[in-house]
Amino acid sequence: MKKKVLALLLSATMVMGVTACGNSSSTSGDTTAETSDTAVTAEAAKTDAAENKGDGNREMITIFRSDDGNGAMEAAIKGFEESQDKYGVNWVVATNDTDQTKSQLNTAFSAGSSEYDLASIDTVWAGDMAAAGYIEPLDSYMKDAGRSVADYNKGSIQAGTYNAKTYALPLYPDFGVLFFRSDIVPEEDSAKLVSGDYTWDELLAMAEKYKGEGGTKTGITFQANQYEGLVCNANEFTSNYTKVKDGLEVMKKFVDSDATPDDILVYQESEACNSYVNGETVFSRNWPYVWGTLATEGSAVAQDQTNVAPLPEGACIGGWLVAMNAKSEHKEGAWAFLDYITAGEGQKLFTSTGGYVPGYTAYVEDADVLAANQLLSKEGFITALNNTIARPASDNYQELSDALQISMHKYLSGKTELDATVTEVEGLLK
Amino acid sequence: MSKNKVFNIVCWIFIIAFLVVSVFPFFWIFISSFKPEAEIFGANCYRIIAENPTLDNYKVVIFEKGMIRAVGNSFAMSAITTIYVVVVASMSAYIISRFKFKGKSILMGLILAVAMFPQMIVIGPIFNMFYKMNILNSYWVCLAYSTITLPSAVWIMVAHFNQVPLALEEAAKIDGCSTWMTLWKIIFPIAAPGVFTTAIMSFISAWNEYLLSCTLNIDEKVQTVPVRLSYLKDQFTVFWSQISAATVVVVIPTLLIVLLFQKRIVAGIANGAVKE
Repeated sequence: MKKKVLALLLSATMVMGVTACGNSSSTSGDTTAETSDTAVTAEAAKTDAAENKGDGNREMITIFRSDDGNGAMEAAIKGFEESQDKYGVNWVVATNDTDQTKSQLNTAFSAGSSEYDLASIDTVWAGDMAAAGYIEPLDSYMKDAGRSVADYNKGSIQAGTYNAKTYALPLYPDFGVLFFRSDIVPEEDSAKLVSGDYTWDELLAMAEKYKGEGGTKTGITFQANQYEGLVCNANEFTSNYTKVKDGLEVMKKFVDSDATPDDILVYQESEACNSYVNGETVFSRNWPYVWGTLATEGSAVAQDQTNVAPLPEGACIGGWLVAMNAKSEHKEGAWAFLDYITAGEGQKLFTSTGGYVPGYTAYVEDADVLAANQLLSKEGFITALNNTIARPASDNYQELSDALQISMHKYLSGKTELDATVTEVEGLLK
Repeated sequence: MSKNKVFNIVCWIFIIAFLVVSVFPFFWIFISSFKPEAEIFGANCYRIIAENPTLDNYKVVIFEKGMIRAVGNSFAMSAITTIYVVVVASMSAYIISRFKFKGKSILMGLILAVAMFPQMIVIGPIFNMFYKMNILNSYWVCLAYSTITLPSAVWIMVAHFNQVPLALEEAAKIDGCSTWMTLWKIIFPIAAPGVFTTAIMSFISAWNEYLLSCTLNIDEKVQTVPVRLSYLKDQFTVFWSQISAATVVVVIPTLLIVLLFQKRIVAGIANGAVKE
């Protein structure tokens, strides 16, 4: 009996101890059961305080976006709050896990929540969200502000368009480019690549030719795993899904070739990036972020051993857009910040602080932005930027993308025939 | 004799093989947490001790990525959930175990059915409710956690309370105990191992909860450990060495609890195993 009582006492101590220890971060609490209530109130008070930060009278606009850890968002918010005194910005930090962010947003939007006035969305979400009526069409705001769709990056604007209306504006575009070792590839081929005037077959021939030089183990890496990246890569191979048959055939040739790793069918961005950064491959298709990785400690390949070329059939667009919650209670202020960060001074601050490519075309030649992003001075990179292609639009993009991935990955791994796959893919895209 | 020896050796080989397989991931996470990001992949990736060992990952995780606050949040939320679940479950289990009323088995079935609801389905309505009540981003998430653990807690407790001899209770009643006193002074202490199992179980499931936490508590100030871990990645890259460091930081407190209460946990689990 004594033992049992002791056990109970021990359990109580443990639980209480744990409560006390946990709450020390929020309240310097006592250890009674009331602690939970205290913690809740304290926490609620804190949240309220955070929402009303800034100087009292400002109307707070809330934006949901991930933190890239480079101070770009902070710079834009600071700039906005200094440029006027009517609105302030409250930034709720989202994770960098794209799928998680998407499901959080969808849950909030479908509940009719006005919690977020603005949300930074992936290029492929605009269609689904617009179709569901979650996000606000921006055309009338744009007209009043004198903005035209022609001022923004073409591929990004397309991605934010649904039923001929603009629902989201580009924060910054990301697009596929070809990184290659300029210390291995000779001048002549290098010039050809940078001009973009080459074919996928020629690229494969080069990869086979230069494979093994300069300590490399393979010729070219790209993303062929069954995931969203496959839709992007196939988009580039098939010239925006206009040449599905030729494109997939060439893609299969790449997969089967000795110039690609045996496990290319599980490659995603990080595998492709590692293979290039560790000096294992001559060519690598990836997003511009690889350039920054080359400058970090531990990279086997330096930036001056590397050049950038456009892909032969266009660069698939990625990156982020900004959209307005249709249920927002601060639409005027939301638009003010949206316009500031996508086209106003904030776009310049954001892109130059973070080293992004501006989605507002006029800033591509801005001195501060150019200084912050060396890639913008590279000929091959600019050619790629001017030739971006969007992924297929649909009001149920996720379903379409999943079906495309499965169908194409089956073909690439040799489980289905080309003709059947082409018919299936073309049927899906209709 | 020699047959026995062979059997022993075979057993040992099995045990060692099993241990290697199950301990290896933890070991690898531990050594990875001291490696710089560049050594996680590439030519040096199989080294046990990194070429340039570093404590930076721990520094970043603890001071910059707010892992300590997340551990605190996780502790507080798991503890609140545990207390709430134990109190509610023991009272309802006592009623179910000792009183006769109509529809008892239907009630038990209903409780079990609640536990079988996929979280993905209930998350929408729960979010709507929390949003309308304006209690998102708060410790109220414990209420949502308890929906997962409460049903199984009730079931376990009922099994344990059923084991307590009725005679004890009758004796208590004769001595002048009210129903409440019987529950708290007689049944509860005797069924302590069961209570313990329930407490540990709810604590662990609340500690590991991800979906509810990441949907209802988006604000950084109230994020729990599993959600915070998902922030240790970039759009295209996962910072494996930081994740390893964070995992080590997070495992230490749980490990301490388990070591401290090891005997109790085992006793509790074993106690529930046989129904007399």
